[in-house]
Amino acid sequence: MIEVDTLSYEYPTTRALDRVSLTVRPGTVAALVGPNGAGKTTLLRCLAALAPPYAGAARIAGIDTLEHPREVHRRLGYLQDFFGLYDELTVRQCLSYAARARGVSGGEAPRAAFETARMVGLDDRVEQRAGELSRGLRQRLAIGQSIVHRPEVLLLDEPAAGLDPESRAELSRLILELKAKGITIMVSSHILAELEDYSDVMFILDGGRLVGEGPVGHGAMPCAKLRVALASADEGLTAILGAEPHVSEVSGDAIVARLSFAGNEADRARLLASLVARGLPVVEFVEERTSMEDVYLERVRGARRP
Amino acid sequence: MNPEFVRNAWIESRFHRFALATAAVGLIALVGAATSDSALGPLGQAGAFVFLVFMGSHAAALSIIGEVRNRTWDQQRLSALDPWSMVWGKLLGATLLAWFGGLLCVAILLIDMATSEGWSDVPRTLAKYVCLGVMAQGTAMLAALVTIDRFESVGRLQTFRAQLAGIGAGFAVAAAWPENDAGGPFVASWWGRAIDAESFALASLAVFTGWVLVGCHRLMRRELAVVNGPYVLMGFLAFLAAYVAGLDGLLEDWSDDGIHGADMRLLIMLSTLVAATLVLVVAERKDPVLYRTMFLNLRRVRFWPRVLREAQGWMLAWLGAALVVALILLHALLPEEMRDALGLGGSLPTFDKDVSLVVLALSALGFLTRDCALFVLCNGRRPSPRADSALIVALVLGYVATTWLLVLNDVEWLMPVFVPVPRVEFAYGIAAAWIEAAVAMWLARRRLA
Repeated sequence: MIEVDTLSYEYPTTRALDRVSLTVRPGTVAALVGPNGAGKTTLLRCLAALAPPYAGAARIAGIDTLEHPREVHRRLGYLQDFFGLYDELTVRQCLSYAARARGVSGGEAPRAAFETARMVGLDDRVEQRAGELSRGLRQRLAIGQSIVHRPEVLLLDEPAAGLDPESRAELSRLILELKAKGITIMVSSHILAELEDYSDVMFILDGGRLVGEGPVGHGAMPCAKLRVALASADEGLTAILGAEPHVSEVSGDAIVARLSFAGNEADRARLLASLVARGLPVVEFVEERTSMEDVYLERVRGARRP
Repeated sequence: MNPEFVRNAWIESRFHRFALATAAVGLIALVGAATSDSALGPLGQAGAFVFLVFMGSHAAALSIIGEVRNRTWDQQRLSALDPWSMVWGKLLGATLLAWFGGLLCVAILLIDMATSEGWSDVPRTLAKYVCLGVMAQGTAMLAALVTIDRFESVGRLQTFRAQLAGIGAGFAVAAAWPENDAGGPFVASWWGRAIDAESFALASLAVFTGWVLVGCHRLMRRELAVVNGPYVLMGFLAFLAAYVAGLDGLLEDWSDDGIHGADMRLLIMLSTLVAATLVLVVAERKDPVLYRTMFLNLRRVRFWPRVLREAQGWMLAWLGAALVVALILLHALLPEEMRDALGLGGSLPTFDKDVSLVVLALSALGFLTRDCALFVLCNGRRPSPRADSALIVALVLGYVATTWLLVLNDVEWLMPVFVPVPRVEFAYGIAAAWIEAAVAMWLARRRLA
């Protein structure tokens, strides 16, 4: 659904994107992460056909953003890192205008506006002015404006910035709801923990280059990280673990050890049984969850290593 | 109905604002009626000017710059509305209050006119004020669209500047409007034809208002990511050159310099296109990335149509100027009998014994090329309106002050190094201008690399 092919973008004094290539499958939520100035917003603007690339190409639903930008505009919704709202207008007027401006017919626009208000939880405030809404509600209205024309692709730039925990949870729920409707979503954010709740795949940008990509959640790392703890010390713990199949990178002491495990669930059960059979007093045998942040930090540090 | 117009109308339609405007117009009518019969018309005229030109220009400028300031512009750029809908939705929607007050004032003026002079001039006056309003507001919108492309951040100052452009257009119309104080024959002469002066002025105003709207449309197309071809701007430049060259009054002004007939028309066309090039090169964003991309595409023949499509206005105006220079050269090379047969007249390339249009044209094009290259050079790292301002000051000093100093110190032979001089003895000025142009272009190319 989203294809980026060796895309480069230049500002007069810097190259903001350097031969970035990625693909996002239809109906998935892609997280775009990276430090400040990594090029996330520039990439989203290129995808939204708001900034023409210097070289390379980007395609949304097979349509080239450089050759047919207006076609691309019709098929996507884009929420910027600030929400552009008309404070003097009511929620109903904002959504009706957005619907009409994004090509929804005059007859359909009121219904589209009402349905969108309901979807983003603003149906009880349709006559309230945008300028009178709280930050969280303004955020919802801005998202509503981006999806009122039922786009195939939704680009969200830092959608959770400045939101309280409750609003963030609402945002996660909304994104999952949109994903369930088949919309392909790309979200850029600094708050990695929250991206983990709804993202399927992650792309890591650093210094304008794509330094990592991969699935999010279980299987995000090729090896699971296991933590083994004993009730009493056993000096041979790390050596015993190191000799077991599928085990690598063992570290720790006589009480607690950490290891990388490349086997499946059954292999993992066999490993535990083997340790118990050897008389080791195992009190803990758990997978240390590999967070998105771990993956992100590992990839970014790896990319920066000389 | 146009959604952009409806949205603007939602924002503009506040009862208290319309009540205030009505009260202001009522006050004008009251004062006019109370003072004397003859004061009503001028007061209506002044009120219309304030509403349509001052207020309207501000509203039109804000309809663009306000969107950028409030960060709603990118959402508008993603809009499915076509550029015309966006232009007229903003131009009429954002200026509703100005039109409301302005048309009330025009009504006062027309009623006064009808009661004192009869109804014959009423339609023409109404058309004049409608065109004046659209011209001023359209110019402000055009300036605002140029501004948001040129400046990375915009605020009140940029809104004010765009408003000033609209006000300037309004005053230019008012100043150029013919007044028949003498009461004699009232005609304008254009391409040798005598036309009623007021009709000519009204037709000119209508046509230029149309061009302003076309300009707004073209810049809105660019903002909405619709590809702009070069032909409309080329058409405007050709029209502008032909319009100005057709003003017979200008011929008389320059005939003392020994340039006559077709030569003078060509010279006026060249001057118009040189001026247009300079205005455009200052107004447009000189983006090094765009130029680098153009250089890249120039190397690939199949990308040449794209280069033409992406060519900036000043490049097209320069091409127009170069074309006129070519016409001047061609005219100069024609045998005298052929010129006579074609009715071109004159005795080119030397009109009088020592005045040469060829020398003037070639050196003017050289200096123009140098100046354009200097503007690109100054913006070669990043687009900078400040660098443009500094260069404008430097060029004015170079052209005016240096010339004045040289004349004062009796070293006129150095003048062709700084300004185009139309004299045969100063033909080396052509080489000087083009050497300067070549150096400036080389430096600009290096800076862009």
